[in-house]
Amino acid sequence: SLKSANICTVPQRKHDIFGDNRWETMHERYVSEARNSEADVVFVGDSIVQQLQLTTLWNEKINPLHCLNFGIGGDRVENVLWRLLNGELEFACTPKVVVLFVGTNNTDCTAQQVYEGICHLIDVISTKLGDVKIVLPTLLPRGQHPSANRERNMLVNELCMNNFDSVSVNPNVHVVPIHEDIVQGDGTISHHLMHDYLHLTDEGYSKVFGPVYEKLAALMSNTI
Amino acid sequence: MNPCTIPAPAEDIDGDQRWMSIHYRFLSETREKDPDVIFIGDSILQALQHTDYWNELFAPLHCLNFGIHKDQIQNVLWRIKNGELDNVRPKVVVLHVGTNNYSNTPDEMIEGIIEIINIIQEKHPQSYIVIPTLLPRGHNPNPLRDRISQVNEILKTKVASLPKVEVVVIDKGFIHVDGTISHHDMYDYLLLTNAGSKKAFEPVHELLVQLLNEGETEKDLTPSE
Ligand SMILES: [Ca+2]
Repeated sequence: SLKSANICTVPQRKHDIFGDNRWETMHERYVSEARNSEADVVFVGDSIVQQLQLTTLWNEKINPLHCLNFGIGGDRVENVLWRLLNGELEFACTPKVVVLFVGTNNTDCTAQQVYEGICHLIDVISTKLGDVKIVLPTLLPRGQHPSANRERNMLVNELCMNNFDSVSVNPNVHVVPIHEDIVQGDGTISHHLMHDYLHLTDEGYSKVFGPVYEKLAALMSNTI
Repeated sequence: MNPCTIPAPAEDIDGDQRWMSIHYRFLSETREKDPDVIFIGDSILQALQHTDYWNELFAPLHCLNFGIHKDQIQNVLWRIKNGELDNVRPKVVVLHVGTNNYSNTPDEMIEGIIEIINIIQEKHPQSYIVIPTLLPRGHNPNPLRDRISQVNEILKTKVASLPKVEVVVIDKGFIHVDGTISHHDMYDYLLLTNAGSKKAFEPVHELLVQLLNEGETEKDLTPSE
């Protein structure tokens, strides 16, 4: 077949352009945290996941659910895939829920490629952790003004919402739509919500990731 | 030519013009606000703005923060040449940039930083320029950390001797005896946690209070002559 491989489904270490080995050492830390973990909820993904742990929402509501945060700034789908295949899912004690949030940094990929990458990640998580529940917040819009990136993220969201809605695909996957109510009537995104038009402010996290917390709280109360 | 001294907008790798949007927002802030202090620079400053520490101690001093994640020296140079310090009369400008110039030598970085200082002084000869030393980075010792500490040595000597330029050492206490940096201070071995922000920027806050009060004292003395 002449069909080219989808880079989102090929596990990839992050290239260390700065030469300070930060990505590898964060990964090593997460592997050791997994080995010693008694956490119920594990967040994996990119900078939006990583910076969540600096917020009021995290400190006051999410972290008390016994969480670990395996976010790395700049990570793409294939980087998270590499991490999950290389020790970050080797838990001492299997968590009840994995929150997966990655894809916005795959700016050179199509929506279909990103979606397939996310499906692949879900397969890896389900294979390694069995009956674990997977919470999939939708990707956020980005950029002050409309752009191809924004459209791609919204297409990824449609694919996820349409396909995972059917219980037959994987009954453990729970898509949580968080992308709505971010773009304003005139098509812009406010810096009060996203200070750099990509990352959320503290206020933005409370508003946008509030439904993720609600979903986690609901899932946890059902599993206890 | 030294790339650090040639003003350049950041490359729009993602194709959504976020850097330029942020720059335009900073320009509009200069027209709408009258800051006493402007922080301008890179990821370290941008992240500082999203800590409790900033809200409690820096925001009340009438500070604006023009930090952009990943900015290199030449990007900050471009932003200053394109209006970010126009329409304002800050008493102090705080400059932190260089950690992202991973492909440049310490001498190139210093030359770029001095170029920025010159431009600021042309625009605001009455203002103080406060330069916190660059923070170390990476969990373990690495070549970039070494170059950063070479830049700091030149900052503390050559740059500190420039008139109305104050260099503040903020990089102490982050590297443990085994050479590592803790994620409790820098969650990704680059950007500061709330605790790390306090550790690093406390001396900057103290100096700002001192410099801002110095101006007030002069004003107070004038009528009593
Ligand atoms: Ca003004």
